Amino acid sequence: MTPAEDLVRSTTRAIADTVTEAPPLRLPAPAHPADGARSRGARRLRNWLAPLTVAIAVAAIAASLLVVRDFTGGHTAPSTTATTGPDGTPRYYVELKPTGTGASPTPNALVIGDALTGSTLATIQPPAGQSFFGVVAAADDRTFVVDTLPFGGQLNLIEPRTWYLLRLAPGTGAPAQLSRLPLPSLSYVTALALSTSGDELAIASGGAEALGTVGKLAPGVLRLYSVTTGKLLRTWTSTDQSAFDVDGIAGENTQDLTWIDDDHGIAFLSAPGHFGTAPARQKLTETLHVLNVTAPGDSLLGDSRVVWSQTTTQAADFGPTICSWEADVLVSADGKTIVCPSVSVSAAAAGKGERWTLRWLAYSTSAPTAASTLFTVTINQASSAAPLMYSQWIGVKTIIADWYLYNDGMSGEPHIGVISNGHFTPLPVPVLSLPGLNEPGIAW
Amino acid sequence: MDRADTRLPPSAADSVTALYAEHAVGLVRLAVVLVGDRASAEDIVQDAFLGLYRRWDDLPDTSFPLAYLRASVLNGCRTALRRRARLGFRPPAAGTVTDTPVESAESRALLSEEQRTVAIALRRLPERQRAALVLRYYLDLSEDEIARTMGVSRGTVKSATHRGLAAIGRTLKGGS
Repeated sequence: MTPAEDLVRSTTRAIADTVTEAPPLRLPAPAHPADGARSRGARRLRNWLAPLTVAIAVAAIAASLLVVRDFTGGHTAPSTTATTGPDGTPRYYVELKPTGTGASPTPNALVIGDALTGSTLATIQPPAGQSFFGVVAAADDRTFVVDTLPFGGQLNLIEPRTWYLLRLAPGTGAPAQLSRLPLPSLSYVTALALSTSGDELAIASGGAEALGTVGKLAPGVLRLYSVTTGKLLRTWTSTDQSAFDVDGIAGENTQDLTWIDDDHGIAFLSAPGHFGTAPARQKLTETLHVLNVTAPGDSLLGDSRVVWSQTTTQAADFGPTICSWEADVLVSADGKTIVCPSVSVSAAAAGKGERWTLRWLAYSTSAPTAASTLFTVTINQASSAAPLMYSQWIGVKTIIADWYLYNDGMSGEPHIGVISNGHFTPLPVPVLSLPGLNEPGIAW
Repeated sequence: MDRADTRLPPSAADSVTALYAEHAVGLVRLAVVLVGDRASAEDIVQDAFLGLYRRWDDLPDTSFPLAYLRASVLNGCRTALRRRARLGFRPPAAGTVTDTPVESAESRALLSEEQRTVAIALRRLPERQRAALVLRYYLDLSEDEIARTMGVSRGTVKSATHRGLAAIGRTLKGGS
């Protein structure tokens, strides 16, 4: 911990210690019965109106592009006519786009883009009072699952999610179709993953998501649903509150759960003890587990196997040869290779600020301690710069990375491209989220 | 209509009161660090619990109310600070110890000169950076937990923390 960090800690605690008691709680008298009846009636009305609101809000924005219908069953088999984007990437992507431009959080819309041409196929505004939040893709480049959260000035993951199937049909009169899925509303959702077939949706919840409950039990649950029927197929649970090293943040849903081995396994990251007391936070051990979804058992950690682990400390956050502190760890679709970002910084020439080196490290699950470097970029930037690095692994060979290094003025050029053979090839994909305000939630 | 059906369940008041007994002091401490004065902090925490009480029956899950309360307190602090900004309140310049309001929490805390400089520097930070630093170093929350409490992305937390620390570092070194 740096002297500045030490001083912030000791200062805030000294200020806090001036408070030793709180005044009595003042709650209002119970509501008048008529108020309660009116409230419940209004809630019933809202519930009845909700599907209609969704339809009106979406259809009014892009009526010529979009078909909205209730999901009534049917198979979600992927199209066999998938084309390829640059460098083997999927051609089409779905990206979250804030509907506002200011510094305050705004609801997210969906933008469906073509990475080959750089064009936009469709934009879908969120239902009234909602924000699109998570987006995950199947392997066919046509099938996506998205969810929404209530939006009341900010997003709060305690709120339940509503699920939609998004099907792309480029070149047709309705290039995007959004359908409500019959999955139940779930709170504390932390990560999603759509199987490569598009038939099954894995949803992680609980675990670290129960923020504010450090020291209390918050079980992690992994649920597997049929996208077609909404039926709950499997459930795995853990009493370890760190069962998932979750992000659960817009744009990061695809990193925390990964379908591997032709939809026979799910990989997830765990961080035992990460949500302990302050000393425990100085050291972080992340372990990558693989769960065989075809095998019996319902224990999230007990029935999975560890294929990789790494211990880092906060002091090593800027070390050159290990994953950064609390870094996203990705696994390839065959489960054999793991990739994570690493950041190091050193003094640059006089007047040039600092020299930042961003690396993408790769580990083999057969030799999980030796890392190789897939790609390195070095930048001189102001001393108050902050790096952001996000990646997605498409299949076995392709890594799409987006990274920023921006300065005090929140300026800095974002990059999205493909990492291959030690090179970074930019993609014609606009970064729709402002750096630092909302990560570029994007699924391929 | 049956009165018992329409009345707020008694357990809501009992539950919220019990939560207040357990968490109020900690939340007032958090608010004091963020807004700088005790009276505002107590009002913010009262409002947070009142909001929880009113929403109790609508919450999808009441197992983890501290998460809701922390986010509410953070929102309340943000509102209070913005209201002050609209009214023309300006935090003191770094190093001008005598500018610290007499009734502020900082003035009552036993702070070294260095800590007092940090306290003032904290109050000069943009609200997002200040909140990120307080949640990280006062509450020892992880980046994930901070992101959820603030309702922002983890990347935002990372950058806000980094910038806030950099600004405080500059202040300690005698910069602006």
